[in-house]
Amino acid sequence: MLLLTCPFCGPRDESEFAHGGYARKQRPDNPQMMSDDAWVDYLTVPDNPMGPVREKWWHVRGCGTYFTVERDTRTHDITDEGESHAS
Amino acid sequence: MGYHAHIERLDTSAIIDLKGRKDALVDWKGSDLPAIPERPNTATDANGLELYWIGNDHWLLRAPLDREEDILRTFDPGSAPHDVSAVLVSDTLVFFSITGPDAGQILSIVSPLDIALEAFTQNGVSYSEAFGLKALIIRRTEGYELAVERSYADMAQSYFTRIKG
Amino acid sequence: MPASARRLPTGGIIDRSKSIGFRFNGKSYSGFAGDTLASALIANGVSLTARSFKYHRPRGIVGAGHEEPGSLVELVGDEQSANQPITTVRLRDGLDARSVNCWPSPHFDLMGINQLFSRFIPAAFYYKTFMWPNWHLFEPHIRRAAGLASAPDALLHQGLYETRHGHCDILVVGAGPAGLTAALAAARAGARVMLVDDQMQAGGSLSGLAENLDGRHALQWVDDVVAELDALANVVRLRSATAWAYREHNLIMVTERAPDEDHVFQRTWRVRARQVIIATGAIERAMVFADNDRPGIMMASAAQIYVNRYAVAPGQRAVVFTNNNSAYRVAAEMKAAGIEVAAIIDSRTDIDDAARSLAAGIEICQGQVVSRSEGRRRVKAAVIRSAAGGSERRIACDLLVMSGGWNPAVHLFSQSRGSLRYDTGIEAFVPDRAVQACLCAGSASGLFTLSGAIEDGAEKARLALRACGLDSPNAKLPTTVSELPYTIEALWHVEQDNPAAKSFVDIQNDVTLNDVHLAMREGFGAVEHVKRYTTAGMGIDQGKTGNINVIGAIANRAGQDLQDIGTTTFRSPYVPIEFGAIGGQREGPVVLPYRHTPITDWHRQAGAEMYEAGARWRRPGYYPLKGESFQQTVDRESLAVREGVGVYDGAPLGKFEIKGPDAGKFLDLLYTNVFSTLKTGMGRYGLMLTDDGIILDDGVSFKLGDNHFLMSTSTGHADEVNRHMEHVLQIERPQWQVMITTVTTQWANATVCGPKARQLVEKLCTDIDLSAEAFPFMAMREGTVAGIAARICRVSFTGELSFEINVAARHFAKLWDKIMEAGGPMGIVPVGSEANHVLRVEKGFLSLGHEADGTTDAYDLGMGWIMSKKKPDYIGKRSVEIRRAKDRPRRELVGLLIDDPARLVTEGAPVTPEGRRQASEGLVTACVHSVALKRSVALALLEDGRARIGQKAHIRMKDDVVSAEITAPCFYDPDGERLRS
Repeated sequence: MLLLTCPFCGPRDESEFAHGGYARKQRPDNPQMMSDDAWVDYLTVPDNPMGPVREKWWHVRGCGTYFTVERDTRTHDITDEGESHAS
Repeated sequence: MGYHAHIERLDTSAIIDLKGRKDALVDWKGSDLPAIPERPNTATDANGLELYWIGNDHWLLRAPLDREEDILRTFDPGSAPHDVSAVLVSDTLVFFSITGPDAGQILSIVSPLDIALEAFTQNGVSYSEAFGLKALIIRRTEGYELAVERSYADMAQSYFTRIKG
Repeated sequence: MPASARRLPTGGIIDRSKSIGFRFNGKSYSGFAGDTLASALIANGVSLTARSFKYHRPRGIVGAGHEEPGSLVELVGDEQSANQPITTVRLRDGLDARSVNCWPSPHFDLMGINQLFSRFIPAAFYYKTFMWPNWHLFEPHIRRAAGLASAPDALLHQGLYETRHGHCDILVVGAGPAGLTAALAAARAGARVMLVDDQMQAGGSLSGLAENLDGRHALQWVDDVVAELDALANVVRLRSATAWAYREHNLIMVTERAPDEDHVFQRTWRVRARQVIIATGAIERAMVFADNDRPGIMMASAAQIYVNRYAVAPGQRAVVFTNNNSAYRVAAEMKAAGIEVAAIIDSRTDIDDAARSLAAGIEICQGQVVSRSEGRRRVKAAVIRSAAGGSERRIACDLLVMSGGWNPAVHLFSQSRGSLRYDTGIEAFVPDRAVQACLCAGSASGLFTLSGAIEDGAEKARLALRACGLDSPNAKLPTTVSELPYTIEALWHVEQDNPAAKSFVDIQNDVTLNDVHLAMREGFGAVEHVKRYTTAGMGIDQGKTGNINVIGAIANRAGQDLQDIGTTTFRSPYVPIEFGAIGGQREGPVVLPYRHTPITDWHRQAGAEMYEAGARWRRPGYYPLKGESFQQTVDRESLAVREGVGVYDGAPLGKFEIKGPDAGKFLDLLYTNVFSTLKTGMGRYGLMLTDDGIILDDGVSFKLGDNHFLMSTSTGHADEVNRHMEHVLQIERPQWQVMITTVTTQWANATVCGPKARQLVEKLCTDIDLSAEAFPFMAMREGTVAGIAARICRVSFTGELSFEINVAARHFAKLWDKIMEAGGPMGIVPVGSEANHVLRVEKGFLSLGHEADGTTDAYDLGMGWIMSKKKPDYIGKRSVEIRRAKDRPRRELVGLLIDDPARLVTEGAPVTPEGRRQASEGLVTACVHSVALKRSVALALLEDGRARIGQKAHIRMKDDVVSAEITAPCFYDPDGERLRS
């Protein structure tokens, strides 16, 4: 059970959160301008490292903030507590 | 036997959900609100109104139910500026009070929130997880209050009865 | 010695004033409060307590705690539970236990015949034999012959399993000398401290020794420390509590087996600690020699504990076999208790004088080993010889205690992913580098003296406090008497004189030295392979007393160091944990969450069959009247809506207020169609996709004012839509100003539907013009209904004229009563989800999970009109294009009229060409008895369906093929006149 640090609430138990997917590149403004392959790539090909991965967490049973952290997939060590996405 | 704690379902409170930047909120109704809390997940109160800061640009204003008409007039959702959202959500939350010497034990069974005074201060209020659900937890002098979404209230009651013993 | 004389006349931490009766294998015995089942049986002269797992060899009591490899028992009666080590069962009134894995008794075990076949059933025999013609033939018999105990057949009724959360600055695991010292220092410094120990009595190793500490009996020092800790508000001390898992981010699982509260049977804690001090002590290792498993052969430290803690003598005449100093103290204490110690067999070449003088009066056989034991149901002699070989000598004994050295208990540390290294000084694996915030103290870190343990406890507390930003108080450590240093010469096993001899490396799983060598010969020489090939270390004891001997055997045979061989991975749980302890109070009505509407009670009173409707809601399925069949009820409710008036509880529908200057833009991005152009007071049906083109949800959103919308979603996907919206807003469009508030349970809605709906609502609502001109389909109006402030929406999921009346949830029961009252003369009925289903199928309306199944898009469903061509982009647009561009037949929504109008088919039934048994070309998504057409109707997804309207389709059912005519997917009022009326 991870201990995640919400930018608003501070360190909280994993049971307050939902995994928000890996932190992919920002959704392009113009999907229409992209080739089919590029679009499918953006949607379906994530980074899958054995090591630090950037991912989002949603504080669903908490303040509702989405934030990004860097977590090592081998050890669960949080190597970078990212910033909140909320303005 | 069981724990020495008293768990009671409370009457509905009047609650307005407020969203928007702090300065926009203060511009709109700063003089009618209690002071804006300074630290995240804390509460302030004034004139029978409580103001909870429970998220980024997100507050709950709470009052006894008989003041609902009153606060709806003051914080009229229809007259809020475009950058402030005021929505009546009184019926969405059901509050339980948890009092007695073992109140803290009950909390530690239902939620992973650290409720020690150092971690959850005197005027602490926070959303957290309880029985797998989203719950609002408030520290009171006599113990705690815990609120869940109305539809889950029967389940929460059942759960409390079970763990109290 | 008569049985009664096995109990020593004085001493022990037992309460001789409280006698306890118990049963074992059907016979009655008695013991004292404070005894374990093992100590009480020893006191009664019982030594044969089990039969082994595979060979059914006679076995006895080997240890004194959870490391016990020899005997497992199952408890019967009220406390039924299986596979408890005999040494961990506390004696209590009414205890009734029996040995596992032997029948009818350990004394006369019919399965003992296995011993004759032992040559044919070495390690891994089941991979190589019992294969032909089909291994499944043999499996049931092998399973019956193997296995341990039986599962309990009754529910626990003496209290519940509780789980809870704990938080502290410093968690100390183990209340032995190191742990107590550390906990005391941390507590005095003001840290939040939790101290957990798996015994009822604190003290750890001290409770098994006759030791002096700080000028008084060690247990007196323990009591003083415990009293000080218990008086401090910042300390939580748990007894009979085992820390069994070390998880990520310093989360430790602890289960308390005997909580103070009567109503709690066991309590499991999830403790989040800033710092953990692991003071779990050390576990003694067995010696490996031929027939080292006979009853009467036990660990030296266990014998010491039985003498000192339980005041029982495990035998009359003992031989001690050791490779280290610690057994000398045991020999001296046994002698002082009246046990005759015939000899100490010490395999080492060097024995220091201090050890010798401790064992004054006892013969010491230096450089000798025990090559085998003799005896059948109990050991009766040890056969010894020189370590180098040579002539044998037989020493008669009824107790043979062994000490192969000590292993620091590194399990929790290892679970935390800390690394181990082999220490040649103590010939054991010790903690090396920590990866999480934890420290090992005392013998858990390889310090095997009392003074060393105490100093280390203080030092580790100091480090842990500093990491928490606290200073350590200066305190005087308790003084210790001078002790024997710990010296050892490794002896991983005694070379077998007879190659067929059985020298056990894992007593519980019947694994011998020969099995280890066999595994290596077969190519399974890596330590993890040896473990799995032989099953060594895979029993309930997890090889606590024997794994190191396996590693040593591999190292010897491979000619490598133990450091290079390494250990197998340590996994949780450290001791067996019951499922109930992990699940806690989540059973019965609270095992899964459930949600109620404000009138769930009314539905129940009205006799509704309640269903689980998605997102955990309980909703009425149908309301059967007395004597009605299911079909009659559903027909009646559906007919009421088609011809009169019905009402259903729509409270669970997801509802969100969406405000802000960018709200319109936001909805345009989320939905496939345009919403920003909606007029205030009007609503629009919309479809929401995910970015990979799958239908996420459908619903109706209304414009309530400038920059103000009310979105409604399906019941089942409300939570998912909420997540989706927050994700889009916070991650994809953080610069947009949109504020979303969930109001699902603020508004409860009663949907009045049917041709008489307007008539009914007019009776209750006088301040809104409900006529079709003033209040068109898809509009929303605010006013009062039955005296309650309400929002009324004209939406229809049934295809009839409908008014969805929304009021604050606290007024809903009153509204519902008023509707039922006003509708009484019109024959109003409450309508459940079954009837709703019939009505929507008649109309061909979309239902998520049926027609929208993750493969179909709006075009397939005949809803191409909803995919805006004006908007350059919305979520899902790009992906739908890519999917449709593929050269693959699409399944389209059609209706089916089955040739036999009375015939129904199952949802999901496949449609195949001519009904042949081949890959399907579609499936039935719904099939109901239509009250409008008075016959069955079905909806289906069919390849190229729209082009085949008028043709036949064939549905494969289990026993026959059903043919049907393909029609348009709407059977009633296709122009929607009724719902727009």
